[in-house]
Amino acid sequence: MRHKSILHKIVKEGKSPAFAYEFQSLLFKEMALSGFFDNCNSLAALVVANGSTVAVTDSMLKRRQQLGLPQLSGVNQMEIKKIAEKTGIKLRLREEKR
Amino acid sequence: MIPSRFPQFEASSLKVLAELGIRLERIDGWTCCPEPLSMQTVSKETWYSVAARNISLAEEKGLDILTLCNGCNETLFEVNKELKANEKLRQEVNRNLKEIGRTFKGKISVKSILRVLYEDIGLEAIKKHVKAPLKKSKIALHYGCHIFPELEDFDDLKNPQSFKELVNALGGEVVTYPSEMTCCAAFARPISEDVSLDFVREKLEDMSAAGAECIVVLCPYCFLQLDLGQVILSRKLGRSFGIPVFYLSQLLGLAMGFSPREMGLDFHTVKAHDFARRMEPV
Repeated sequence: MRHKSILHKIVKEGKSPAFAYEFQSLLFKEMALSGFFDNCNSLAALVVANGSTVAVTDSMLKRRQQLGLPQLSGVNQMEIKKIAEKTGIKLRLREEKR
Repeated sequence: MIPSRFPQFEASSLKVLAELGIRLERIDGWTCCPEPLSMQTVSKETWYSVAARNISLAEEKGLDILTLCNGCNETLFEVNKELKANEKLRQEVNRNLKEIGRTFKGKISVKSILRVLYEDIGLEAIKKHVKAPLKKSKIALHYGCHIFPELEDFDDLKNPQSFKELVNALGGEVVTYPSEMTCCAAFARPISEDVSLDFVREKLEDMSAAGAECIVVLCPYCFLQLDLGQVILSRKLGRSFGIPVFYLSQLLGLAMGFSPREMGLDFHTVKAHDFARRMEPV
């Protein structure tokens, strides 16, 4: 874990945490390039398709009820899809899947 | 993520903020912020545009945005700030929003719950609401790295005080530990669980060595890592840390006299009731 020891050195030497954060972002990208981009594409595709990266389960709907929270309001998915089309993200995601 | 995975943080925040005089309104049609790291990696233009759409929904209602998640805060705070400052970028994003009949105007602000509590409500006002102080309990703070862009805007990033002062105002004693400002590594989990958990293990060992009796977080992903992560680590290492994790509004609510049930402690993986029971009202 060469990256981790470098990171800890940076943090322990009192450099800016923002700098450490930038470093960690790079670390995650570097340590698993293929996995990282696949994961990014999946999450982005979920936002475009559902408006959220997390599916709402029945148990969570029940939990919301137990906590006295209202039901979740619907998302205007057409708007997100239009933005995705306009910015070309949909096309890129399709290409990634091939 | 909070509404569909950790609604207890939404419920505790609504209760606590209402008691402190902050009225929250829901915005219909809201989507994922979107999550900062993945969407920016795939398409920065889409990241700006989806976030700007969310901001425009709040603008239409004339409301500022309060975020409960560090990831949401980073996206919405950064996009709001950049689009306000960069006219060319704002025009480009507004061309995309025109397709759906919306416009980013740049008229509102985006703040985390930490900033609202610290700046808008203030420590003195919060102290007046404390009915069950933390009795010098030793508390480890975990900031979470996505809060740093906003933290830099209102605190000293090299030596931040706001979170610490807030927990001190509740009667807690904040402990410092070497890995305090490092990432929880939640994003690495789908790629390498071992690497991700290694960050968690190191943090928990540091917190434990510092004598922490509980952990306070500002982000649901960090909560997941540190709460569920403890159970996974105990299976893998055979070592139980047993340090309960609280989201900020839960700890604040307990100090304000709300019950553990009202604050949603029943849904934690590492049981937090023993810690909560020690905070008896005075």
